[in-house]
Amino acid sequence: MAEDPGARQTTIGADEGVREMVDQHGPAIYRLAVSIVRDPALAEDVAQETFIMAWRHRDTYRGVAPLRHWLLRIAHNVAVSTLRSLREEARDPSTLPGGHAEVVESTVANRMAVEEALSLLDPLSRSIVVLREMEGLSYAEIGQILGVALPTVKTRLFRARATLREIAGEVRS
Amino acid sequence: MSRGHPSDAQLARWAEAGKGKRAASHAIHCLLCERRLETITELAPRLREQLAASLEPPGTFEQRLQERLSQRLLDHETIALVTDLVDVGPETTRLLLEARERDEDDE
Repeated sequence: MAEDPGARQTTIGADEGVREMVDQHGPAIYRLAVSIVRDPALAEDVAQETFIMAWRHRDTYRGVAPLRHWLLRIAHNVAVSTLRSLREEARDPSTLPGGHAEVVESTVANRMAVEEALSLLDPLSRSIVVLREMEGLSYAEIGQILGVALPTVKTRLFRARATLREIAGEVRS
Repeated sequence: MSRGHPSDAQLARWAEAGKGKRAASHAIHCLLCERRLETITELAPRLREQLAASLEPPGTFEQRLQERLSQRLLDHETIALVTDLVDVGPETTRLLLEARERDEDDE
């Protein structure tokens, strides 16, 4: 069968568009994903689904908020949905992401303290910490991305930071 | 602290132990106290670095992701193309392509 040049062109265009998105936003999407699912392999799956969904629904991006915020919102939804599916599949908490002993064992002491502190936070609080501390977003932007009220963002952030300071206290300079 | 504003100790107690919800409720709506809470709970630079390190993707993440996405997009385009040409549904196309791949593997 002869190759359809039009279809090939579409593939190349899609490939380039997604490649650019991954270059610019991949690590940020991964950070948010791993903060929610607490498993590197799952976080990569979430990132993959995020970019595929973004590409398929690119017509719905209105350009009001920065592209990264739109992608973070998709990533959050995909990650939460992934976590929910896992919880439904495995009621045993030890089988959930974050319970992998080998991940903790392979890290140094400080990293372990941070991991422990993160594991004590709920997924929403972890997301808020990442968006604020790593991505430097405002409270309002975080509220829009995660779909939660401003007071919730602030309350969760302050309490999460206190938990991180307390549990991972020895990391303090 | 002046009347109406909770003390640093009250704000810290709420952040660390969840005690003193009235102080928190005030702080969330008072810009001055919100800033004090930000300072009280601020992460030390070293802790922030460790947090960033624990969330950083593996070195090969972007390359792996690019490859997986390229393959997914190619699959998507192939299914769309065959669906158009053969005039069957996407699921039928997917089954046909999977069957062909299995045959190739068997050979």
